Amino acid sequence: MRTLISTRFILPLMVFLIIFMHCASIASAGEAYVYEGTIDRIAQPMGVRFASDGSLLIAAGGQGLIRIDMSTAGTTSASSVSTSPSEFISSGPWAIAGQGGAFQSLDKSRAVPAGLAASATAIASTENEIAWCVRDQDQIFRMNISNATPTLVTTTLAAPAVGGWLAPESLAFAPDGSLWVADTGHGRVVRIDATGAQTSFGERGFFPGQFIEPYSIAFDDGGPLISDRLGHRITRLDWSGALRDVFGLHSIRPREGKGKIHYPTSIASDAKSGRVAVCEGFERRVQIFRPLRQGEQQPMRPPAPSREGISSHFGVDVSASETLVAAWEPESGTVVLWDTRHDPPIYITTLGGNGDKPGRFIRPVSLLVDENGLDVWIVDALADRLEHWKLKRNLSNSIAFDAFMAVMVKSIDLSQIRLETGLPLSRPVDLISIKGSAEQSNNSTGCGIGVVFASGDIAWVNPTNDTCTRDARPRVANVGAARAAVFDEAANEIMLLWPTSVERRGATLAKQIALPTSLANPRGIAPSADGGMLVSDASSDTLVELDAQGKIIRNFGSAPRQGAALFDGVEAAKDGALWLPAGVDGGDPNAIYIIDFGNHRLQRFTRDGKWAASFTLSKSRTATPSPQVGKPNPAQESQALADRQTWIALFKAGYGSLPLDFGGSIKWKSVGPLSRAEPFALEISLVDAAGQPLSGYELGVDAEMPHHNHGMNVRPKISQISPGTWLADPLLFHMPGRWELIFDVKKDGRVSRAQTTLELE
Amino acid sequence: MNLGNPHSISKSDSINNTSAPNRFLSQRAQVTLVIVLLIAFTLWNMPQPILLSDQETRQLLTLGPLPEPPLDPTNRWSGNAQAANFGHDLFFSTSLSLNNSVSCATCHKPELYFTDGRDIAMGLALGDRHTQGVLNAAHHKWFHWDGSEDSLWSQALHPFESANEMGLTRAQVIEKIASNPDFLSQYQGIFGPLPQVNSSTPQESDAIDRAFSNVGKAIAAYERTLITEPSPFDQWLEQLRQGNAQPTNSFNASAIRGAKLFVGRANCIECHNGPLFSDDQFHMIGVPLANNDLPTDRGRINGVVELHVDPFNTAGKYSDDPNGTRAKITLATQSEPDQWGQFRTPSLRNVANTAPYMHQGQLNTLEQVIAFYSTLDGAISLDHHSESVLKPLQLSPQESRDLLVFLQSLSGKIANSN
Repeated sequence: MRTLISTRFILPLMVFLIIFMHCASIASAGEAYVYEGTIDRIAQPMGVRFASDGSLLIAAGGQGLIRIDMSTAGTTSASSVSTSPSEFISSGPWAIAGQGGAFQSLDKSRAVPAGLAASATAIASTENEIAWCVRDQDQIFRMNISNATPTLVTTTLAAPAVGGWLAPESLAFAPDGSLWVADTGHGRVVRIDATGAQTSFGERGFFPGQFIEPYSIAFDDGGPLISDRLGHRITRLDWSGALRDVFGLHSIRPREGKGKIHYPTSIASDAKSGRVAVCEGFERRVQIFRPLRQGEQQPMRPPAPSREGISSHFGVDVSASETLVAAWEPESGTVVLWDTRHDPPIYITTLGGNGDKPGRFIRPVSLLVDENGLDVWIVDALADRLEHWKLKRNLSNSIAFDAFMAVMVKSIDLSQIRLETGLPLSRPVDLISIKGSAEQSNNSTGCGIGVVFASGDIAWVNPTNDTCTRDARPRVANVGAARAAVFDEAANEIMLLWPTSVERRGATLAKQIALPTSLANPRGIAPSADGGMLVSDASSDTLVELDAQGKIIRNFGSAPRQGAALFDGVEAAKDGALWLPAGVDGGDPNAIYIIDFGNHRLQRFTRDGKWAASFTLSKSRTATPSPQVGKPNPAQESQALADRQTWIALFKAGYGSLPLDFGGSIKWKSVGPLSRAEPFALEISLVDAAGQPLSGYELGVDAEMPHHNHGMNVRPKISQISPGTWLADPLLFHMPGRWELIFDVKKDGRVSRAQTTLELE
Repeated sequence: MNLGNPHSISKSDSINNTSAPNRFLSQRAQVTLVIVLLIAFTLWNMPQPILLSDQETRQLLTLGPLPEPPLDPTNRWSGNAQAANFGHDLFFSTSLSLNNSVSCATCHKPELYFTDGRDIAMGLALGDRHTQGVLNAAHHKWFHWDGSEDSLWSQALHPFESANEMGLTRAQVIEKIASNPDFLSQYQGIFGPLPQVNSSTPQESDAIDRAFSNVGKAIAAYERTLITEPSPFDQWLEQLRQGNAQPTNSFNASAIRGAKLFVGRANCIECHNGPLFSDDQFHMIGVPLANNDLPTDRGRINGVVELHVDPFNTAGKYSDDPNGTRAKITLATQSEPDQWGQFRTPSLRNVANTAPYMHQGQLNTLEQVIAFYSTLDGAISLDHHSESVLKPLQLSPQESRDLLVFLQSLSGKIANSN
């Protein structure tokens, strides 16, 4: 009884205190927009746009177009406008919804203009002009529709916004007629004014004024509002492009709401009410914000997230062998590896990082680990590069994190490679298999890394000589639009996952296997036994095994959630439950791995469908913890000490020789003594196996500190002294610790890397 | 004794035990216990011999002494006494500002170890960042929080032309020197003729830039003389060099424990290294801003851009060593996205005398600085994933006190510079 009484007094007091503290914390640093409400439980919201009457139109996969009457604030009286599937709604007076050429005008008086390319992925309009982007071809088109004959102009990018467009996601016309483009792959926004002058704002980064993936643009009175999909916020610039502020930052955990934004995509504003709608497909909702009213106090800006408690976000692809599982992180441009011999798996290293030079990634869209658990292949969709990394991994040693474990062996510029037909390749979107074993890869042809290109080709890259052979099967023109692709080595068939079917393409024959209707948004595929397959589905949040005929024979993890439970984040976060599952892999004979995208984690299931483990970089849980594999031993510790002495000695000596994957080697020596925080120069020569200088190569020299996730603050100038010999000057190691000295030799778009460790005391 | 024998305890605790009086310990055991406790207490309070590992000793010895300030090859008047005298007069003159009331010493007050005690600097108007000190500055390689200047002399020029510091043009600075007979004669005695500047002559010219750079070089010559004497830590370090690690009157056991932390578990030496206690590099440590403001100061990423366009950088035509090492580093320095929000590691010499701290003066006391590194509470990181060098140190109260005592021992008297 005493407990009851005290609880009755304490609870209201606590509530009062929390409210009081909240009010007291209102300070000058506030947000420009306040959260107004959420339109919740939309399975696949893809695009938003305010109609002229102030109502909100939402394009929703599987539901068609939904109209929300915003005058009855707080209610979500959805009236269906159409039931055709839609991916986006254009901005501007020409209200067009659609995808893949299946466009629909939302205004009876305005037909979809003839001449609008079927490949348009986003559209914007004024009364007299329509502009659109074709994302995977890096193109922007503008069409004047005021004349009887529309004129089509391809918009190219000129200096200072150099580099062309890179996977632009969307564009919008400002009230003054200027066209603003989200140049997504470059992490910037470009304004093209009425005279055609271009100005670019921002660069790729996490900080205010920078963008990771600028995605969609709307406007308020003061300038553009840009949704940053991977920055999880809305950035407001003024008309000159200067940063005004950011808002909505940041939902840290999935399904946090009330003004915190997570993976925002489409954004729309209503000039009359000032409302802003932010589409969050990831959260299956649209959030509504409104400007502060006159006299209204600014709410306190939520604190910027600290590193504490933030989970990793993963990309949609996963690859596993018996001892290793790999996934990628789109925001940091890294690939993350776990050792799977332990339950739960142990995070062992990270490779890469944001950047456009070899060894860094813009969008590492797919990866493969070889069955030896030592070789990792990664393809970067926006850098057009296929990279081979090797792990310095001793499987008999104890499992522990090692920032230095992964080293890049080579990087192949796929855009420089021509098929045997002479055709160029561009925009790799998926890796399907390592055909043949690692041993074969090193010795023979007839094996390779299968790469799927948005251009429509599937090609096999020979890992030894980098030649590229088109897959002999009949070409699939839109193969890049497939949800996922994988190679079933046992059947010698490529499996393509389409929205409603799986296509198996054998040497001569292709067959379609219809997917069960419950799998309305399939996302990942992997072959399983007896011609069956594993398919993940983001509409029902399930991972299932299908037999060869496409019948569900097994469900992995929890039973599928239905109805309102589908939107229940607490249920969805339980072990064995999934939220927006993506890539799946069965490369480990004992386990199935899946990217549980919405829960920011990976899960492991047993082959018979039972949950085995959930894991991220920092947290993991398992059904049956296994004992540590390979405990640290004295031999290992003394080896570590000896290594350190070697690296210290190497720094003091200032010279060395390093092998390259194609048989040549790098010889380097310092000009003068090496010391910390003082610039030094290196003389470097490239020789063949017989020690003779090799000419015709370009050299790159760099140094990095993997523990610190940064490199040198200077970029050395490389000057050739004689063919095959260069001087790199200056280099500068500004911190004590372990440095990796890196040499890249480049020829014909192929970069081979040699690197060595040096330690400064 | 059988203190730890559970059997004997359970026996004596037994309710049914009627054979013996209920005594927890025998008398003999009690006496023994008291003696043991007394010995332990005495040992606990005895001064502990200070044990420094070889590694700790080696690392501590790299932290001092601070040598004489080096001559700056990019400033040929760097060691010139006449130039230093002229620089002194310029440093304290309020006449070289738009309203004749701001001098270098407005923000660099000698009585405050050449800082201003403010969070954000205030010249003609409120600035953007916290004032950095000038003492021992000639040892630095980069200047300003963002390293937008690469020499002491080019650093001294920036405030003259900054609207919220002194608010002049370089032509006005030359005009004001020409109109002050003392300044004019000093200038001419060192650098030769001063170019004519008036409303009828061009306001921008090579001659004006040359004269303006000379003004900076004179001030730098003076600032090079602004140094501090050896600190209690330096004195103890000399003793350590002789092999004696014992505490002294001014560097006690707590300071030594703090020193061990500094080079050990707290790993402050990672960035605060060398005799200057600074790696002279740029890092983002994520100290939150006042009022939870959005961090918008781009720091080093803009500093590098400004460095390259500055006509007074060490690789430029006004440098006296445009092909030297210093210029080579400047030319090779590149702007990289990860430099966003990075600021220069400050020297920790005299740190106890130069509150507040950080680039916005966000932290008022050294205790707050130590608490920040201990917990990283509120640390800004808009980035989810980057592995940071910084991990919360989780210092115990005693460790925090020790570190504070160590930091307080790094102050020396300002050396007499006439």
